[in-house]
Amino acid sequence: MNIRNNIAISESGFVFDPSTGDSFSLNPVGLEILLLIKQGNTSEQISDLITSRYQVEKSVFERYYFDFTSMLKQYHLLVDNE
Amino acid sequence: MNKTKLTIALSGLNNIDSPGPGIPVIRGLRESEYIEPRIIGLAYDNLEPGAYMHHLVDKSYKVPYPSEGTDVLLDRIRYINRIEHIDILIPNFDSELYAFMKSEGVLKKMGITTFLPRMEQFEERHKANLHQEFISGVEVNVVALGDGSGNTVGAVPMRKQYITDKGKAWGGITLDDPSLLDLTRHIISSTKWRGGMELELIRNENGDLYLIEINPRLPAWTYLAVAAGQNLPEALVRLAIGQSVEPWTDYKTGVMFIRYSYDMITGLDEFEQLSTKGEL
Amino acid sequence: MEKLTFERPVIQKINAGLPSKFGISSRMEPITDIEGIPVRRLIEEFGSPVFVFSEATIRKTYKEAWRAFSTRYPRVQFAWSYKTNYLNSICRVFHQEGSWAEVVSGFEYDKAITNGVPGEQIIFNGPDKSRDDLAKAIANGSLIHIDHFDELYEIIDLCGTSVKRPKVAIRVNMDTGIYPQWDRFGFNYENGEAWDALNRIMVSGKMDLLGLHAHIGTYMMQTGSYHIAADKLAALAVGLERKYNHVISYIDMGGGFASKNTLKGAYYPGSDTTPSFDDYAEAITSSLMKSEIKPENLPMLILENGRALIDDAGYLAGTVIANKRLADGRRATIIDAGVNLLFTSFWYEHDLRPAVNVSDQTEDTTIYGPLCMNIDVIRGSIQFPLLKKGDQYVIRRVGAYNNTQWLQFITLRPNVVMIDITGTPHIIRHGETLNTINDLESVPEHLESTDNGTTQRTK
Repeated sequence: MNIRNNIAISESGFVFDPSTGDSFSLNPVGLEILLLIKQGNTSEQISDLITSRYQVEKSVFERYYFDFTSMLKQYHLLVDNE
Repeated sequence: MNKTKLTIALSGLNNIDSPGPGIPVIRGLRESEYIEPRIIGLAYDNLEPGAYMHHLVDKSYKVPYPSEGTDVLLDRIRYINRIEHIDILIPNFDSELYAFMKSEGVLKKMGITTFLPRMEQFEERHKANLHQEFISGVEVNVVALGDGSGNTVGAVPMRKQYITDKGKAWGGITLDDPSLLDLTRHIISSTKWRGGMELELIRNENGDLYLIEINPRLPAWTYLAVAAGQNLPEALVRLAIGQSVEPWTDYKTGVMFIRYSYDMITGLDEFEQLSTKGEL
Repeated sequence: MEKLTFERPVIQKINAGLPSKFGISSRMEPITDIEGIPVRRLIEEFGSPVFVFSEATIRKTYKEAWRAFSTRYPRVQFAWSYKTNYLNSICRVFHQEGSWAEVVSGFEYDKAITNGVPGEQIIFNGPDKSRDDLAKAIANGSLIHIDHFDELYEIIDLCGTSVKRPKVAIRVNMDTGIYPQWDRFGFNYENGEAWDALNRIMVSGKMDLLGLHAHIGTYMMQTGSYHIAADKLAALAVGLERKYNHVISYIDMGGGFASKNTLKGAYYPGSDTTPSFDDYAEAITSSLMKSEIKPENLPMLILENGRALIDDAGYLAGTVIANKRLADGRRATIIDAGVNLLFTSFWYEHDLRPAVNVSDQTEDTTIYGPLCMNIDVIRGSIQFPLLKKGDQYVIRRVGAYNNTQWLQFITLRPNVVMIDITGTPHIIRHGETLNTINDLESVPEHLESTDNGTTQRTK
């Protein structure tokens, strides 16, 4: 699972998909996770990183994480490559 | 002449196929002999062209729709005002007028002056014998400015030469028509109208005039009046800051406008700025 | 190291032409407590969901409305509209403040009596008053507002058996410039029916004609219509003075004032556009003061407002059940109160707030109730912050009509709590239990056993 490699992500959380022309906006946690995915981290690694930094239980985070990645898939930003 | 420096915030930057009056009003202000404006654009949408037209608009801010509530809108204006110190605010959308008219006092406290119709004028225009049934004839329009004491500061009549499928003027031409001016002066004096106004009328085959609508703001074709010799946006701002403005007695007839569209090239970074930061 | 506060990750598509609040901080202010009591505590103590009324707000709103009218007109009387909310404790707050009762059925009439309202301070409105209801109202000296000729003749008929003279008014409907015109209640002004009815009452000589009543509509945003209605009632009063030398005691302008809720389809929120009590009062009293009614005969002005007096005092607090994604990726949040409890969500865009401090982040969300019914939508589309399962919410301005129009449907109706002016909560209506419902039912003997086949149907 990775971010399509032509997707542009800016520091402000602005995302541009040059193949569709769509643009998106991320909240800070969303941006952090998107960058972690882009760096090649697995779901488990991301969960460990976020739950160690933020006040959130693993089970709670995972629910939001899968909701978030399903939105990324719906917007065709994420491709399965595993 | 020493020009007065003023920070003027205005909306209606949607200079698209069915344009808002923002850009034409700004053009008038930029050509003023009396004032040197710093223009603050208020944009409701990420794609309002005016926000990207930096030769006309100095800085733009996104604002929430008035439907979100006047308080939310005023909070945003307060934030912008802290940065920009707005002198004058000119709302150019019908949907905003109610909220801004109601907030005249609050804005005044922030140091922001408006020059808008009063609430009772705004409500009364619904009752001004507007015609609902179908009347065939030629559509004629008047752009005018009332000083709030019953005087007509300026008024220019125009005939739309062609109307787009959105009901907007494609082209128009100024008319020499004293009866239209008489009617305009009558409406302004009897309502003591304050601010810009556009009258939409139909003249039937017998020459009778039927009033269709009174829009309580300057219209998108305002720049035609500027070109015909009456810089109504400038006069509106001067009235707002308390200067006396000598009413115009004349304008050039036969002045024509043709509306055109233009594909402006803009940077994605600018779109990003406006859509994520809300400022550009 | 202190861990950072977590916020759900969100991605939103930037659409042109749709409101996008990104870049603009527009935090939705949470409602964390009601009259000083944390919402969390109210729910712990009284369950979820729970209706909560603020007695202080009721009294404050009443006084505000009272001030608006009493400073403009010499004789004013309010009558609490029972159908808006007839929970006894609510009614009693209004009666303590000085309200009479305005009822529209025998059931409401009896409720007013059990709330200790004297018969002569009950206004009996509506098209459905049974013969027994009318006899009782006559005996108690209540004010009967006649709705139609059949009722008028029924009262004339009752005069034969009654010792007391009925005290009556007529309800008048009229064109006040609003659309649609309410013409189904009362006698029409323009076609002369109202004048006709007044003449018949006067000529019969069997009743005391005390008043004239109009109720021009509901959720009236144009105060000018009240001015027109008051003009027309005053004209009838003047007509009675001239023809019969009869002076009426009161003019009842009904209710219909809007609350600050936002109607579906309205562009501006109700909090921006709803006229104030002063606006309504000015429209009504200026008409009566300017009328040709002789100053010494100026009638008492009665108002029957419900919604505008109680909506703000009522809250519905509850809990988020779940979040889900709809087929198009939109967020849906399911809460534990549905249209069965919040009947008004059919016509209002209710002001729904989180009860916990949340971030600025909002998402376009559909708010569903818990019912297994497609129509159970509390808000079709709202920019709402990210609440988790178990988080609490509060819906504002639900005091009017919900506790009278709610349905026992699929689930039971919850506790209703009133917080008194000292900040102490009281249950004013207990949550229903299975027994509340089952006790009303009876099962024929042949259905007592559900054991199929062993039970014989007997003749």
